[in-house]
Amino acid sequence: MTLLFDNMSAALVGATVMLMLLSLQLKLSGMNLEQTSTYMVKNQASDLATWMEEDLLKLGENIDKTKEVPFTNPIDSAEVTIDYTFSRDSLDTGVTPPDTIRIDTRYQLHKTGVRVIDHETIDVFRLSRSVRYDGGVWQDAGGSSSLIGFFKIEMLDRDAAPVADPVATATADPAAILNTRIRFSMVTPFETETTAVRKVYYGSTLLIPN
Amino acid sequence: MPQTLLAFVAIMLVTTYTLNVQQQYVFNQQRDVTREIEEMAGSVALEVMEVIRARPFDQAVVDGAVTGTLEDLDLFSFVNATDHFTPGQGCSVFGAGVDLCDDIDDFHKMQTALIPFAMGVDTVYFNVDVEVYYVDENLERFDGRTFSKAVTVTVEDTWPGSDLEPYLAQPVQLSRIFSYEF
Repeated sequence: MTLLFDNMSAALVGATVMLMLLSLQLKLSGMNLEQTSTYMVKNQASDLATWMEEDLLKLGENIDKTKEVPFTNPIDSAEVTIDYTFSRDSLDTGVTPPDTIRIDTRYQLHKTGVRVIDHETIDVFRLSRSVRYDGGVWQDAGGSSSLIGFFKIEMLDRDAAPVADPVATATADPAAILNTRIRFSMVTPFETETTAVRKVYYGSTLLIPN
Repeated sequence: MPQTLLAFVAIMLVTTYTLNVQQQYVFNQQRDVTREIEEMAGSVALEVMEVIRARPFDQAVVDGAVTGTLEDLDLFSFVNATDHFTPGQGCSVFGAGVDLCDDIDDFHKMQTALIPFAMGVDTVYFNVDVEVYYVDENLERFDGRTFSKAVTVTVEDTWPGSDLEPYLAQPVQLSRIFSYEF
């Protein structure tokens, strides 16, 4: 104690320095947590966007669109798309004469819970992807993480305006549907009070191949 | 005296370090927000580009004047070396006016369009400008008619109803080249 009182100034300065270092350490930990969280969700959103783009850019491939419509109407519920199926044909060169294999891909959105983001409670979903070959049984073929906050697929006309009934429109005029538009948001898996980015957004307009 | 100096140095060092950490923190947040706005701007640019891509190559194609031969080149629009096409149209497809804008070059220097990026309850707005010009076989600007047109879409965030400046230091640009199909 005597030592402490004999060096009161040093003790005060030392304590101040220690406190500042401690608070800095806390701040740095928070920053690292935010960065990790943002990186994780961004990474997962990029993965989801990449494989969805790969899928959708093949929509209707090798299918004669004057004879059939290679997609179903996206089914929406509460402003999000919960079901969407589309098709393409792959060439089967293993038989003579070469034939085609019909590949159907289905996206389904499943609610997995709720999250509170910025004092707002939102539903979160997982997107599941399944495929079937030549009308067989649906097989699970991957999906997203359970962090989707918003998900919407729309079929667009030449003015990039969403079409209300794409199947009927494409049946009447196969060239009327030009693009698919996907938009989704993902929420961060965890956050701190000061997290700047609590949701990441993605949107893309993809050309339907002729 | 040496003790006071040491204390002073210690406080100075910690203060400098604190400032650095704070600066890094602000930088990280700004970078994250910028990245998100850039993502949205890119999406808007792509959508605008798809709208333009859906249009015929030139008014001559719309009018049915083309024959599908090399002679079609003379039928294509060309104003002058500064502006290859007539600027200033208000394209109704983007809600910027009443002009039809039914071929690619009608979008050249159109009136700035305000396009929302709607995402559930959140909406960010973007100003969109377009430039169209002819390019040669090396994809460089060419002051005369060719069979290829370059389209550059420029997108910048804007905050209607407020005095906020655009958040992005530089607008997002997307360029594509469209060629005439015989």
